[in-house]
Amino acid sequence: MSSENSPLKEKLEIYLSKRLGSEVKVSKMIPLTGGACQDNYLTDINVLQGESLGLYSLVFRTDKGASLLSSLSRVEEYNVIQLAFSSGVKTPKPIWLEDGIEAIGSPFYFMERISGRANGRYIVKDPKLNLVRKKFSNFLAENLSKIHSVTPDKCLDIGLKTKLSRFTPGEPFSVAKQAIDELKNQVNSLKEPHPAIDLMNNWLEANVKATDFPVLVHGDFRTGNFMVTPEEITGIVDWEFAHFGDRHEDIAWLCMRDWRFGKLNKEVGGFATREEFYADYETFSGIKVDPAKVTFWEVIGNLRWACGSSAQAERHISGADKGIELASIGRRTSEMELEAMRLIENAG
Amino acid sequence: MQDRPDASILLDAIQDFLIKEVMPFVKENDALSYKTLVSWNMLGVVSRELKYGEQKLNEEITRLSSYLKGNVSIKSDTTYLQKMEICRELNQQFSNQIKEQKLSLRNTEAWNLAKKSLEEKIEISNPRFQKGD
Repeated sequence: MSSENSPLKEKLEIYLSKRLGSEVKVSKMIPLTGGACQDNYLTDINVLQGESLGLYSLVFRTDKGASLLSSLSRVEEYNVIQLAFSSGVKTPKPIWLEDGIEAIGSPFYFMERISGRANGRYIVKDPKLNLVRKKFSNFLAENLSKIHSVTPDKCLDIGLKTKLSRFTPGEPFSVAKQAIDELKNQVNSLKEPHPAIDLMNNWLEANVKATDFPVLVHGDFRTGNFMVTPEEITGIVDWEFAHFGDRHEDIAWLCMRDWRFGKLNKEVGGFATREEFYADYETFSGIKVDPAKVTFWEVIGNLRWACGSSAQAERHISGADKGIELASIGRRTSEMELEAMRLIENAG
Repeated sequence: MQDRPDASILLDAIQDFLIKEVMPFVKENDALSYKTLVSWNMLGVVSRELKYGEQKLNEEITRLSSYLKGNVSIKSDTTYLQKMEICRELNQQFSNQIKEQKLSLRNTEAWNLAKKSLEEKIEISNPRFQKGD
């Protein structure tokens, strides 16, 4: 982790002073391990006068040069989080969006800094979380139901709605069909052939599922993307893959083997059984979970992650973004492929 | 011929160093302990690939060639990298056939062939995966 970013700190002090009509001091700017498409900094901001007077402990998020297929820009992400936040989802509150590039060279926003850790192995295995872990299923089912309560008609920003919508209105199979097309494009863009994925894409096409009605899908709802303390889950994070789609996509993603972090008997995120979580979700959402749809989307999820891991390794191989974690993940692609084959074999 | 120890023993020594001497110093730092663990894991992958990689590659080439009814001959002086290229080409032909003929679960021979290749990759990359770890 490198040291504080002083030039960025100075630019933000100038920007915020103008925006808030007050002298502003940025007392910390520490880079965090970011996602593929954004830079994150831990920051403390002191607004010395005016309506916004106060000390703020925040996270600063801005775009990186590169972006992944279908990921949101920071401006779009801010607006999605606003939609979720206003629907009661427990997620860090976003503030001070800047959609221009004049201030620092790219759009950015801040969000409330929450306590806790998101490390997957810590979340599923640390004995200090034994008590709070029993509440995960209930909490996540409630929050996922709130996310899924956001339907496209609630998004009043037409541009955002278009960006988020991955379906043709009135065509119930279009959500799944579009997902399969995207998957095929992903696998075709890989540098190596993946016959197993080709076989499974054909299975998906022959077993395509209808979506009752599209809802806001988090897109990366899994262990590792919610923050936990020994007392509670403090918030759901990482909205860069949000879109309108099928609710079973999020449920299936949370169930994927790779997000169980070794706790394989707890098929939901390494902390709950499917029966427990499905029952909790049905209680909060009033919608029955369809296990066949979960399987369908879990196959897609595993294949997306197989393609994603291969693409991440390619970033290292090409020299675009070096790192042992990127290099190594390419060798995990076959695990997701084999898991998807098992799911299909069990489904028949 | 290189002097002792061989590459596999050197890799084992680096693995030991990482897990016994480095890990205790970085275990409180999520990012560093993760990278240390990943590095330890990858040394294991390299070690297994040195031991079994070429044998598995030969077997995969034989299986794919037989399925595709091709006539691939591996000569005694064919290098490991050349074999990898041959195998990649065979997998590309297999992939094209699957797309053209819409093969899937019901096409048992193709399904099992693709699955066998995955299982063999995982025997090298993460042998604990099959045991449910």
